[in-house]
Amino acid sequence: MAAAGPLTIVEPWVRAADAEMTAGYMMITNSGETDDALVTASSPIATVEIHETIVENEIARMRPIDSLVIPAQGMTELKPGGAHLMFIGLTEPLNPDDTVEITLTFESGAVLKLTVPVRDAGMMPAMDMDHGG
Amino acid sequence: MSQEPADPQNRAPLTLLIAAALVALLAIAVFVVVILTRSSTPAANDPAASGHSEGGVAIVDPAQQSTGVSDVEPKVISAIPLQSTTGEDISLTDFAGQYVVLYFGYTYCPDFCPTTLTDFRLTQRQLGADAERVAFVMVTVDPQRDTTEVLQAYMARFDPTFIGLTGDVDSLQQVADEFGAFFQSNDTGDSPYYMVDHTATKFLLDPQGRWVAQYAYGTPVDVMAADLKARLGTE
Repeated sequence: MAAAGPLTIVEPWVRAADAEMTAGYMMITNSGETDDALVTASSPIATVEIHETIVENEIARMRPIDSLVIPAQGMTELKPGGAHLMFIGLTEPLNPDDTVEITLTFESGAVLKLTVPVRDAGMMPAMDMDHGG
Repeated sequence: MSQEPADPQNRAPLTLLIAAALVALLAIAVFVVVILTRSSTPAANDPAASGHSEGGVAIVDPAQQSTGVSDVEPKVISAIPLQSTTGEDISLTDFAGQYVVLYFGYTYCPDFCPTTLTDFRLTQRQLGADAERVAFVMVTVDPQRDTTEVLQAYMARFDPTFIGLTGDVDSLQQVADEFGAFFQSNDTGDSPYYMVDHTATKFLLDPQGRWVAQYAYGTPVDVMAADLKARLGTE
């Protein structure tokens, strides 16, 4: 787990992808007394934006957001169907067992550098052997 | 798991290194527990499947969200030819004898579509031997980027039996209209990485090519699988 001051990153992962776009997910906990916010994310392999997902009347829309609040004494989860890091313009496919370098910058000035595993969502490694991506 | 803090204590004494190793082991243990938990309840931890929004910003209006199966008045679907990843031109009525679970999506969609197709894969596995009686199909809402080749590679990442369909925009719009589905490209010409807004509902066609039911966004895998099993007469 990566940590900087009160911020801790739990179980980060990036979705395996052939296309030029994919998404990254994680839980960010804040044990501090004040709110913080994720303001930028970057990676050597792609442009990264912070996105939110909105579903209204069964219509799914994704939009970039400027920041994502991590509440004091709380946790914000980036997860499928919710807020996520969007990787734009991947130069190469990402396969399970690859890793992705991600740097997160927070409103407080905290900077976290992560090495994040690539995963196929919802699949157990043993179950995925016959359908390896 | 090899994340490192941004301000590493490079000259940490041995005790700190040992402590760090223990923390790493703990992290691995937590990771394994999470994986095991997920393997026993594949839908329970999928936020998209549960419609759960705690701590996130997925905006789900409960009044508009049934997260389940709805039967619809059976409707015969028009035979609108599309190009298939199987290499032929087919329409949604060409799956005679199979149920069709249909999703409108696109391969550049980084979050929703792979989540849905992962749900398809988990649903298919719950069907066991009956899986061959259900076709899982994604109709693209982004024909500009989704050629049959692109779709084929994308669908195969989820399951080699999954089928992708594309066509010209008019044909795709006609297909969407059959189901009252919506899609709208945000392509402004400024970037090749535009998003497409689209209906997230999964539509179910029966073996006679009639639209008979739909699964709302967020319907758990277990619910979809149980519904399909009931229709297949295996429960």
